[in-house]
Amino acid sequence: MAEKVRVDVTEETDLVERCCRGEAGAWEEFVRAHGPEIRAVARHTFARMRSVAGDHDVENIAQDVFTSLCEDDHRRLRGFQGRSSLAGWLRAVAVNHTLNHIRAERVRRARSLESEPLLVPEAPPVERADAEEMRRLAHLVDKLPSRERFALRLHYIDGVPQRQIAAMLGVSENTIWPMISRARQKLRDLMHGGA
Amino acid sequence: MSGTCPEAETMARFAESLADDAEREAVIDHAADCASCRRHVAIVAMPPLPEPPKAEPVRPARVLGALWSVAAAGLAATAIWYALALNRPAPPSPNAVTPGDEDESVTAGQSEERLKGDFTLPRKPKRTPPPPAPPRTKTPVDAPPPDPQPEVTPDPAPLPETAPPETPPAPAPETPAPRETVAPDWKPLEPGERTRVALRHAFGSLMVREKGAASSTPVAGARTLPVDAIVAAGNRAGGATLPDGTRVQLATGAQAALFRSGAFKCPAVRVDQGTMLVDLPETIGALFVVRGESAVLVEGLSGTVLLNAGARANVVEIAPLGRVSACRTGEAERVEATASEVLIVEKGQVRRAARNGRAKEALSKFAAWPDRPEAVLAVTFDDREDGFARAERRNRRKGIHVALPQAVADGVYVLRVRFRTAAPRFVVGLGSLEDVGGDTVALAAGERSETEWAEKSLSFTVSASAAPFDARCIRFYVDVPGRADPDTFVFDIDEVELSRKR
Repeated sequence: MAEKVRVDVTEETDLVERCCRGEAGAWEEFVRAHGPEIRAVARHTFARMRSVAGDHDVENIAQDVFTSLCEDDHRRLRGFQGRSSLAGWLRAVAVNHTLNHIRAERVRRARSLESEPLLVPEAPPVERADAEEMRRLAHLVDKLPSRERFALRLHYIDGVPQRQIAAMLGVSENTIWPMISRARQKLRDLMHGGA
Repeated sequence: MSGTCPEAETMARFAESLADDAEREAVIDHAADCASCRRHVAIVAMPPLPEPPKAEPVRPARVLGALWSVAAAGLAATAIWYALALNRPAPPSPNAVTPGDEDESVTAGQSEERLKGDFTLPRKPKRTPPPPAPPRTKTPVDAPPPDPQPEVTPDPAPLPETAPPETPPAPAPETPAPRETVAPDWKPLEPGERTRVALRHAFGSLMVREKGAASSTPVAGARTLPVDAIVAAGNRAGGATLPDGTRVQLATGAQAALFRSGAFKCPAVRVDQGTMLVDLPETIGALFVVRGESAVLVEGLSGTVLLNAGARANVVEIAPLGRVSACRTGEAERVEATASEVLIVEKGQVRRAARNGRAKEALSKFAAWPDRPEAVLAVTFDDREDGFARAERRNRRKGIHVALPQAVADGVYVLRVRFRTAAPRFVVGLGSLEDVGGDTVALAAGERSETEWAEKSLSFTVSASAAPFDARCIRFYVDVPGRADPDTFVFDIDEVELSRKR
């Protein structure tokens, strides 16, 4: 989680405006200034999503981001209101593009795998009791308050360290583990109560 | 899940801790149930993973150094062994058995080996080869997404989410670090290996026909092209700037497909017909050119390159206007050409030829790189000495005719021209070479040369009502004295810049 940053709006919005006006050299300046960051974010996202990606994948994401910014006469770039830093906004856009790319790729691979004939015996099915318990647990997690749900899933599913979770929730780091423990206790109670 | 996914700017404010309480609660409320947004905030929040060490390219100097090290080590070992062998008492007789011998069956030869073995440098244990790297996935650069995607996709098909594991996820597998180089056996890209490209600042008469469309539509401003779209110039030259700064201009009648090569990470042009100019920024320097079954990666470009679809299918002529260019074909053959030459590509084979008159004539079909709003025309045939537009003979005039990207409106203009000629004067005017009139530019003796370039700037006023002319062309022709033959005078132009005075 980034520290609280002071956004120097004037310089960034000026560059965006110059790009949108089509001023000579502005776009090149924009690409030069933000290209490395976008590539770094794409690489980071690929790595965090455990997706194997080469330089060309990263480059394509960067190209895609820049393309999306300037299509329809810079419609998307014009949509930047300067409420956050330009770099932060571009990071968010780059993460979205990379996640969409990974999702599309996984869907495509899943389809191509499904179309292949199976030559191996099917894997043993998950125990019915386990599967039902999982579903029930997932259903019970939905009943927790949103902050606890958020913290629990970030911690257990996404593996985000407690410090970062605390920064997102705007609370002290020391309060995260009690919050997670409390959520676990509630889940335990709900499971036993429902049994 | 509450509501739709937040916009990218809201997510950015959340990540940067700029969001107010209400905004933060809204994001948390939503992301608690939206796997996509939760992943988004998790990815942004988490520190970057350490970069895997990159393999340094082996340089010849290092190879030599390594060889010298091995040789030096060998020499040192031999010297040590020799020195120790000299100081050592003479080996016992092969047949003599000393009390200390453990193995009595040692022969003379074995004993020799044993002595040597005592002084050989200890060998490092053999390293087991590393497990094979995960296979590189082929670039999934394919057709553009069907619709513009929202800021955060609302996760219609969520990524498989298993039950909460007790331990955080393991670190991601190493991403292949070394930059991909051009494989010697590459093949022309399949349609699925291209990426779409966006046009910025389309100018002139540029038309686009998308696949399956019955007709072409004019392009103005910015537009994103599908990979299979065909761009063409209409009744005059037209072009556009691409997001990476590459500029493309098509002459009248030319057709091409513009895309980006995912494999080579450079702009790419499929030349369908006619001639076109591609001007690459210095940071790119490579262009992938496709014509039918021919494909070539042009590297080391400096400045502008002229592409001309040959009369035969699968043939494309590449005329670099910069100083030196290099083409690499499928067989890793490397052909270099100067600006006075042309590279002819046919089915992956590249040959070099002297540039003929046709290529030079083709240059005059082009017009402008409107980098500046006030610039009507800013064409540089070359930034070095070798490339230029040479005058041609037409209607008993020796001149150069350059199409403008747009008709010149009434106003005051400044024309700057870089030229070389031995003629005492030349005439500049709007319209084609057949038109009359124009401004005569007298040249001093020091400005007249067949080899040295000179520069002139002149200001003139355009008034369409005063003189009828074709306001989409500019002409230069030498004005020769008396009955002199214009052909006896060299007249070349290197740069033309026409801008409107504010």
